[in-house]
This record gives sequence, structure tokens and C-alpha cells, in this order.
Amino acid sequence: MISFFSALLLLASQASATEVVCTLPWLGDIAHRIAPDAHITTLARGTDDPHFLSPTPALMARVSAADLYVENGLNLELWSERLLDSAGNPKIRPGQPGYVKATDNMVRLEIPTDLTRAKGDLHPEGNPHVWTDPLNAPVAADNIAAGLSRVDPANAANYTANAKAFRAKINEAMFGADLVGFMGGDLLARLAQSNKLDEFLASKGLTARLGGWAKKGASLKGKPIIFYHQSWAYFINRFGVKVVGFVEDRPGIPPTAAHRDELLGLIKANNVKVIEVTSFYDPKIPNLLGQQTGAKVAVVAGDVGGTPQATDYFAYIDSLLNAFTQ
Amino acid sequence: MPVLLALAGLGASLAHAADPPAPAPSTTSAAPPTTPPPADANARIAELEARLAAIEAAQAAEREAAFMREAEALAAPPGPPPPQAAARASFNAMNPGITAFGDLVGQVGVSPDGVMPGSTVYLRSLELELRADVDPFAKADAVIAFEQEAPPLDGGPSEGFGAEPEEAYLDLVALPWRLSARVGKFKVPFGIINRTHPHDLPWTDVPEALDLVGDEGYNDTGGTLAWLLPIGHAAVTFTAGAFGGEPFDPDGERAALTGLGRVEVFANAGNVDVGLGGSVLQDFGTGDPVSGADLTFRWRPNQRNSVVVLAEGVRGQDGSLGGYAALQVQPSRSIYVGFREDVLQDEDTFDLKHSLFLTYYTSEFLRVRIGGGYAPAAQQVDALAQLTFVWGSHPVEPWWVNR
Repeated sequence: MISFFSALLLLASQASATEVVCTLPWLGDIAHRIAPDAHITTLARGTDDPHFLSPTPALMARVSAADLYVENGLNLELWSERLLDSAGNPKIRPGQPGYVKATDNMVRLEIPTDLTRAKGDLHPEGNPHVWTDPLNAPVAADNIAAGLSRVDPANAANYTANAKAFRAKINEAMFGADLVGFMGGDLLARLAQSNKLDEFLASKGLTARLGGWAKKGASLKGKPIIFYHQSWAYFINRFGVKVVGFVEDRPGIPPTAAHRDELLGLIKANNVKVIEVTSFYDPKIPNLLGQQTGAKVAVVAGDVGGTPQATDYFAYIDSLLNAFTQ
Repeated sequence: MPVLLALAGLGASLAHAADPPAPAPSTTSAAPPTTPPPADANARIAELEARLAAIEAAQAAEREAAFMREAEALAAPPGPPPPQAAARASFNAMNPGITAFGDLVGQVGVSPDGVMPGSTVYLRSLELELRADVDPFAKADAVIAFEQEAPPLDGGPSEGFGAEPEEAYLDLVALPWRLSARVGKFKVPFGIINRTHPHDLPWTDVPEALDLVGDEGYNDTGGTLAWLLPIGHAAVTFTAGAFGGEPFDPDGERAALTGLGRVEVFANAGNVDVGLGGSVLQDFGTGDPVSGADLTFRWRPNQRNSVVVLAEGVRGQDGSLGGYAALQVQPSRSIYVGFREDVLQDEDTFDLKHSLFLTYYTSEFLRVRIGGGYAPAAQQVDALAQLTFVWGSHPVEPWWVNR
């Protein structure tokens, strides 16, 4: 009898939990950290190419039940519009309290000045793959916390506190506990965002106190890497990787034979040791280039869950750094 | 400056305090007796030490503040970044998104008499699609089609181009209770292929069973209301609609509406999507319905491999039966291979057609496809080569379309 009532109570609590639908896995992971008691649904999997998810009725059904809808935006999830239009759920449409664009208040990179398909599949508002820079994750967390506070004001203080704790955790993971304790995580993050952190720490003799992802990624500065698709702009900007070229001819355009020859030349000329391929792309051409040049092919997660190692956002960044620093 | 003055004063005091004490007057004892320093000297030392500590703390604080000021001067300012790439301050920003679809076809027919005279190249269609938000509650979409009828394979003149508003409708997108509605002229959601533009189909041609729904399908003016019912990982959609009935009464001889009913069950399990649908179009003028059932199956373990099965059966107003079953396999990111079996049966005939298709995408905007079919009854082979190109703003495609 007790277990029956327990089950009823559990069902009741689940029924009353805030329903949060996130388009991408990294957003779902952060939403879970901000609202651990909410019911979080993620539409895309880490192994999916986020550009090409199919807006199926099953996804529409999930969106129809949402109290809060969180999307990356910047024209990445073009399928999102169809879901929102067909879900019959007006409270989560753009402009409504239940809608969150996670990339609000982020500095966008690669905003095209010349918008033409001749340059491939461009994103008019800038490169949307923001989550490869860990310092963008707290901004998304703040946006999600604000959205949660709108739809569930009774728990607003918890959401704000959880977003603050997430920011602190990211800062510590990024710079190491020692330096964060000495200078404060927010100041370090802002120094990194202005690309002055290395210079400042060196001038003060503090470089040795840098820890975390920043220390691990220090070996990536100037390291020549070939990437598959133009989805790493934010990671490259944060860790100072030298981009030698892309396997795709232009974004979304498979490589021609001439382009493959060009890449072979670039790999040899720049002594490239790593060729990146995101787990949902065909590794055939990167493998071919690797075999012909001796460069290692790093199969990396495009998002949380994209590889077995990328179990959550922190493990995702760990997995990227492990792959690129090999 | 006050700090420096204080330091100078403190330094002098410390130097004085550090001076050795004056020797005590000699007594009878050889060893001088130890005498405690005067009480006021101890107090003086304590006071000076406290002052030193305070000054050192102030200096440390000042150094720390200078350090932080220097860091702050280099750091990005707190708060949101300044706006980037503001929206174009132009009335053009409010204009509809425009997409153009070109569908260029080359056809070859071979009969027992040889290459058929209608083998030629022609622009099958050019469609202009205009999309925009009307207001927070509705979106409008119009498709203006310039189409050329396929030149008859057995010869004769082509009918040339015709232009018409193929679709012009309003989607009500802010309805509550999982409802959505469409009002206007559009491809009625009967089955799979009736609601799909030919260039979105995974084949070079359109199954002839579509003619059982209406001449080249049922496209009419009216409205639909759909209700989405979630059931776990499945969803059921109920759609009801009412239309003017023009395709069933092209000459306008009677006033009778056509009703639509459709139920679609969709389920997802991991990499597998399955859809099952049933549709009825009821012409209230004659009482003869058109009915159909359809199946969609897709297995897509990743973005570069997939298997799609589409099947549909239709019973026409005159009792004729028709349908198709198709299989499509995607062996790599850009290549799709397909097979389709068509069947059409009326009182006198039973026609079969076997077709094969090969598709290659250079990007999601440019596609080359070749297809060939064999109709045993007519002993006729036909082949189509198709170039489909899309330019303009990015359209959102239905889930069963290749990309």
C-alpha cells in the first residue's frame, strides 16, 4: 500500500515538474544542472548532425508538452521552426516567456560579410557552434536560468544560484582552482575573452599557476590542424589552434579530388599531425589523408554524447582536448 | 604621499627602537644584572609593530588593487557584449523569404519501334516560394509554379508553360491545445505524395496512383485543423478539413464541398521512424469517397546511411485501385539508390511498372537524379534524367525528404 502511494506521489511530482525541451544535448546537460528537478527532453542526439534533424511528429509531440523551449539559434536548427509551428503550443514560441535562445548575449564569430551560397552553406547570423568554447556555456546557463525563472518564478532563486554555481564550476575547470582562488574566475574569464590572459599572466609571473583546460590547451597554441567542417571557430579562438584547412571544400560541400590534393599539400607543408572529423561525418577522406601523410585522425564528438567519452559537458570538453592534444 | 611620510616616520622610530639600551650602572657583581626594559618601551614596541603591520597591509592592498586594476583594464567588460550585426534597417527586411526551385528534365523513351519521338529535354517546372510571418499568430506561404507538361513520348506537340498559384495558404501557428490549422489553397494532406511537391519526391517521376486522388493529385481551396496527441514515443495526428471540391467538379456544375479526414500514427524508436496513415476524401456531391492508406519507414543510424520505405494504396472515386511501394538506400552522404513498384488496376487493366533511381547531391541545394522504368504491358522503357536546383532562403523540408 505504501509503495502504491509512493508511486502515486512520484507520478504526481513528475506531472508537476517543469517540462523543458532542449534542441541540442549540450543545452539539455546545462538545463539539467540549472533545474535538476525539471523534466528535461533533448531532441537531437550527440551523434546527430544538428543541421539536419528531421522534424518528425514524435518530436512535435515532445515540443507540444513543453513549458520551456531552449534552442541554440543562429540558424543552426532550421528544423526547429517547423516543430514550433506544428506543436500547437503558443507559450514556447519566440518572444513568449517559454522560449529561450541560448546564444543571446554571446559574442558571435564569422558573421559573413558577403552572404552567398557560392561560399557554401553559410549561417547569416554567424557561426552557430558556440558550445565548443567553454566560456560560452555560462552565458547559455544564464539564459536558461532566466527562462526557467519566467515560467517557474517560485524557484527563480534556485535557478539563479545554480547558474552562478555552474559558472564557478566552469571557471575552475577552465583555469584551475589555484588561479581562480587567487584572481577570481570571472576576471580570468573576461581576460580570456579579450585574449589578454596569457600576456597578463606572463607579465606577472603567474603562468605556472594556470591549471584546468587552459593549461591543457596551452600546447594547442599554433598547433596546425585540419578540421572537417567549419564548426570549430569558437574552440579555435579559445585555444589558439592554427587552422590549416577544412576537409569540406566549403561548408556543407563535400571535397572534390582537387581539394583533396590541395589538402595533401597543406598537410605536408604545415607538418599537420591531427585531422579532425566529427563523429557524424564520414571518416573515409580524413582516413585517406591520414594514411597518405601519417597524420592522426581524431574522431571527436560534435556535442555531448557524440562519443562514449563525452558523457556530459565537462567530459565533452575533456574529450576534445584529449583528442586534439594527442 | 601620506603613506610615504608614515613610512619615513615609522622607519625612524624603528631605528631608534632598535638601538641597544644604555648599560646599567656598575655594582659589586661582575655580571650585570638583567633588568626588564621599562614598561613604556614595551608598549612603544607593540604600538610600532601594529603600525608596521597596518602599513604593510595597506601596501599589500594597494598592490592587489593595482594588480586588479591592471587586469580589469585588459579584461573584456562585464555584462553582455555590444550588439553585433544589427538587423538591416530597411523595409526589405520585412519582405518574404524567397526560394526558387528549378526542375530540369531530360526524357528518353524506347519502345519496340525504337527511340520514341518525344525523347527530349525540357524545364518541367520552376517554382517560386514566398514565405513570411504575417503577424505573431500566422505565417503565409505561396508557391507560384511555372510548369510544362511532359512532351508525349510517342510524339506530338508540347503544351508549353502554364503558370498558376499552386499554393497560397496561411498557417495558424499559435493555436493552443496542440492544434494547428491551415487555410487557403494547398496540396491536401491525403497520403504521402499528394502533399509533396514533385521535386521533393525521391523519384524522377510521380506514381500514377496520384491520379486516383485527383488529376495530378488533389489541390484545393479550404482549410484543415490538426490535433496532435502524444503517446509516449509515439504521436497520433487527427486532421479534418473542408474544401471547395473543385478537383472533383472542374466544370463548376454543382455546389458541393469535399471533406477530408486523416489519421496518422507516428512512432520513433532509436534510429527507426515509422508512420502509418489513413485518409479519406469525401465528395459531398456524389457520395463517392477516395480513400487511401500509407506507410513510411525510415532507419537512419547516422547522417550518411539510411533506408527508407514508402508505400501507399489508393482507391479512386470510380473504384480503381492503385499504389506503389518504394525502397531507397543511402550508401553514402551524397548518394541514394531507389526502387519503386507501381500498380494500377481498373475494370479492364492491371498495369505494373518497375523503376530504378540513382540520386547524387553535390549539396543540399543541387541534385542530379536518373531514373528508368519498364512497363511490361506496354513493353515500354522510359528514362528520365533530372537536375533539381534550389536557390534563395533555406526551406524547411518534411521529414521523409532525403535531407
